[in-house]
Amino acid sequence: MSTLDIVDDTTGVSLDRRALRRSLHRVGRRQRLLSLSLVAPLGAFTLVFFVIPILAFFVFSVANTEVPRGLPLTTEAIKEWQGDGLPPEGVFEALTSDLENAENRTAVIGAARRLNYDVAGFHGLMTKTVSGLSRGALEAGAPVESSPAPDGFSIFGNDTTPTESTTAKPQTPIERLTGIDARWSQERYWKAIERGTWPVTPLYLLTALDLRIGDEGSIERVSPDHRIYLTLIARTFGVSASVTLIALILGFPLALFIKRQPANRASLIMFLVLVPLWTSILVRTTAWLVLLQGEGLLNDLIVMLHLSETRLPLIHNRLGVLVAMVHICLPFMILPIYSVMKGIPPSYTRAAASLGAAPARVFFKVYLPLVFPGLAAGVLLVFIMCLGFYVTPALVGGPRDQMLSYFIAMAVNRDLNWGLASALSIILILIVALTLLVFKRFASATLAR
Amino acid sequence: MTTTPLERIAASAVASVAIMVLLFLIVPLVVAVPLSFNSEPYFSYPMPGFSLRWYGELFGNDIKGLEWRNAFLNSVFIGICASILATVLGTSASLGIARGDLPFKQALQAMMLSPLVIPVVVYATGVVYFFARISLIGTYSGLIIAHALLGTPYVLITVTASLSGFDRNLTKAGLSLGAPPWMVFRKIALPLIAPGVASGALFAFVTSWDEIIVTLFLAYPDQQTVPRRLWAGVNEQLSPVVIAASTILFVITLGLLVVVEVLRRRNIRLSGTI
Amino acid sequence: MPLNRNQFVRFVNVHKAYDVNTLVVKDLNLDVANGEFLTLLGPSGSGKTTTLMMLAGFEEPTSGDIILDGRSINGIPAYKRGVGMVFQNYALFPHMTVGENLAFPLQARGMSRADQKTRILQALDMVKLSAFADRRPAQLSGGQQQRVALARALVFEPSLVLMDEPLGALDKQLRDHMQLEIKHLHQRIGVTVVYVTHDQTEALVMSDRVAVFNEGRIQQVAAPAEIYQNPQTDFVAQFIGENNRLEGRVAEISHNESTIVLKDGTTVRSGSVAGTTSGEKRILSVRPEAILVGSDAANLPNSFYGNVKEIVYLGDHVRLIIPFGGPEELSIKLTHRRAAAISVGDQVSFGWKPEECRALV
Ligand SMILES: Nc1ncnc2c1ncn2[C@@H]1O[C@H](COP(=O)(O)OP(=O)(O)O)[C@@H](O)[C@H]1O
Ligand SMILES: [Mg+2]
Repeated sequence: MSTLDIVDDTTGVSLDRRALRRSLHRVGRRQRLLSLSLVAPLGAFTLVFFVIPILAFFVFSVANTEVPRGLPLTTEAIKEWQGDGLPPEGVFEALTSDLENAENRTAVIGAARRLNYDVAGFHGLMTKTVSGLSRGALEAGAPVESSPAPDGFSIFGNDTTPTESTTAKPQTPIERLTGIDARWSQERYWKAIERGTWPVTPLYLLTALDLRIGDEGSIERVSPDHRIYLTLIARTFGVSASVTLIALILGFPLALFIKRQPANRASLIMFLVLVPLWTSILVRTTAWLVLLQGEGLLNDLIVMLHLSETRLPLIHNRLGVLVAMVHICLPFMILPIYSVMKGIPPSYTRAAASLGAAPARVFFKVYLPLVFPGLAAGVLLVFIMCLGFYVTPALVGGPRDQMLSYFIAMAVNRDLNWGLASALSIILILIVALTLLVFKRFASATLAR
Repeated sequence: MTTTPLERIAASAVASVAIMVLLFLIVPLVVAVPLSFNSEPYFSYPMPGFSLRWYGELFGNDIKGLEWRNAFLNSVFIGICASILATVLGTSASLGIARGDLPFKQALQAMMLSPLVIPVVVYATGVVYFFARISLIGTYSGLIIAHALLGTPYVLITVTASLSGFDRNLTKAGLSLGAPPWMVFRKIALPLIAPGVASGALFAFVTSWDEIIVTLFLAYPDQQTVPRRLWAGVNEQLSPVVIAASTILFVITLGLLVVVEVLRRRNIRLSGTI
Repeated sequence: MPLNRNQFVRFVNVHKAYDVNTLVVKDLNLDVANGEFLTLLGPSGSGKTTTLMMLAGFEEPTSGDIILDGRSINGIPAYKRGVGMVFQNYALFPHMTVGENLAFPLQARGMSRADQKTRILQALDMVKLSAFADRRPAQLSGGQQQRVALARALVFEPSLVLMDEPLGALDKQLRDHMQLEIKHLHQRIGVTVVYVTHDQTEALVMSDRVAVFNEGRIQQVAAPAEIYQNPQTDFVAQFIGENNRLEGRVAEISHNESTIVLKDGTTVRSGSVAGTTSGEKRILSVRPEAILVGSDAANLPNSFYGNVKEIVYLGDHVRLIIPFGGPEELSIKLTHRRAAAISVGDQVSFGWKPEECRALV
């Protein structure tokens, strides 16, 4: 090993820090590489099977590929359009060709669905137009002379039998389209197609916030009867907050109670708290159904005791969701609170009491601040858990009790609207991230105090 | 110690709330259990008679029993594989983190723990698209990977916790006595952190065993798991067979918890802080 | 056999830094002889453990060479060095019995079961714990655990054993006992020991030689008596034993004596210090027991008068506190018999031989 030129700092000559840094780096590198190689498998696993799929999924929220894929000629032609009045005839012509291109039918359907997200009724318009065009072609005969885009027609013409027709008078593409549906003479449908050719679209993110791009091109709120997502976000937030609050109110006394029990009984009670935690959510939800449904045990009891003449609606509504969610979250509230309580030596409260503080004062001024980290951890844990709840509201809630997760799942599974699912997911993740951030701020602020 | 009347009132108020909360936690779990032994397919007390017919359906040789047993075996298989995968990856990563000189430690840790805070539906949606592209949809490998991923943060947490109580001098002692690093790990570190590794593995298993959302998104109809059958059972007409299956799961849970408690006691005994 | 008996372990220009701001070990040059008991003594944070860890292979020197038995051991991993080690908290494997703990290094060397057994019995016998082979460490007292750690570090017969404050966790009585026990063990088996402590008594009692560390630098390496009686630096004088410290300037130097003028003008004659020129600042160091009081002091070259400010009772002896040399005070160790006639306020004569007094940097 070569001797480094290191000079002692006490003799007044400064250290050769560069050489030292290099040497330190070299000495530690093998160790750091070993640490890294131990972490690498899980790091890579998480990156490949978690981070990347989620990020790739987020791309859907702005992806705008359907229209260029389904209507390639229109996408090209509509670039010429200035945006005021109807587009030039070439665009009509291109759309006609695109819609008559039978080989591209799946992509056309995709484009129709995408345009329908933007302007309601677009899907119907497209379907009608496609069938109208093919009917028109049958009547008019395939080789319509005025068509300057013979490609689409010839393809179309291949699978139909050209019939000689002299009665049909030649039509311009504009006449053909507006003849099939007058909506083609409205600017807003063409504007929607034009927005569909943008490289990225704000459509889904706007939709997820109950916003849309209006006919004048400015962002505006959707009509009141279409506003669902802000309510949904608020509901997700509200249900989560309610469950967290109830769990805190119920969990804190229980933690306090356990803390005051002798060790043996305390661990027995902890066992009882852990049993529901470890029991399958589906098993627990099943139990709640048996208990709360109209013909359920609780209603049996209520009727038997004449508390109410009719059976009460206890499930498939907000009440059922709150009860079942609190039941699931309570252990997660109790555990952190109890573990912090266990770590507080009794000497603090004894010291406070010996200094003459009244019991209530000791509790609120000394004990509660000491337990605070546990309360904060429990609240954070439960709140974040609640934000993502899916199974419980889906099984014990009514249609008006579903949260963001449910709508994400539905957008993908029922509507195949990946863009909206992605946008809603981004909003959900943002809420989670914001919550974590606020808590982090909050925690460092209270620590600094 | 003397107590004021006010304190006594406060204490008994706390006690009564606490007991009610405990009842709230436990009663719903056990109140349905006897109904699985009902001779009639009704969910009300008093029961007209005792019968094992619903369990009979679960264990019977007809198609229904076969389906349940198939789902059970699937769940066990996926759970064990996912647990092993998560435990190996999580333990190794915990060891790397505990060495204390990991570059980008904060970022890596945050990334590896992120499955804890990302809502499962978001993950399920993302992974269904991703797995479709790499042909993992409807495969056991796909389910195992996704389930293992959801379990790794728990392994990371439990093993890291047990490592924080591990005296690094023991490793040094082992090396100074002439044992190569691998032998030191196997004979000294591993036995001492074993309770942490075991509870991590158990957490990972239960995570998979309980998992429904990712399974609903990823699995093909023929890949039944116990949660999937329960989900179907709850969504359709609630039948006593579902209650019987729930009861069996509940009993298994109790068994696992007892194992955990034994592990915890053993951990305390080994670390010598009784 | 080592190439050179006196250079069994060598540190050559060793530096160690954990970060770019501080050198924890600075230019360490140190030889340890084969079979020697060498103690690294110094206050907490002075770099002793770091030095030991470099020798054991748990830290790498930032620069310089460490040579063991004639071979550079830089880059050789700890488990290949064959160096025994005793840790402050013993680091016994809690999940193994005493016997299994001792068997561990033997298994690592692939020794047969029968040989393991005899070795373990020998080692346990050596530390008088033969009856405890089947106990777990948690079932032993602190002293017993300490001895198991010792036996484990010795059972594979390493030629070098390192001990990092191994007695730090024991109470005083047990510590005193174990100091002698370890010393005797060392004398019996002749293994080379590098021992780390911050307890000067421990170092003086046990060691063949002591290396005094301060701020990562060796201040002096010498036998205990030499260190105590002839400290080379102010730090060593302060750190080892008790010491009166008087600041002054060199007035005159002869070949084996120098004269120092204290702040209030008092002149003191002291043993000379090489390289001193007149006018330089020096610190005089006198041990409390080297100062004589009464008639014994009257004829000494350094003889003074002063008023007793305080008499401190210390059980087996007393201390006189006498203001001297300006702002400073002298502490003088006295037997009860001699102190009987003296009371606070009395003027007494006191003094010391020049060779009992050193002018240090
Ligand atoms: N692993 C380490 N990383 C960074 N600094 C360290 C490390 N080990 C020791 N130090 C620092 O090096 C200095 C010397 O420590 P040490 O060798 O343990 O001293 P001693 O054993 O004499 O008390 C101390 O200031 C300590 O803070
Ligand atoms: Mg030290």
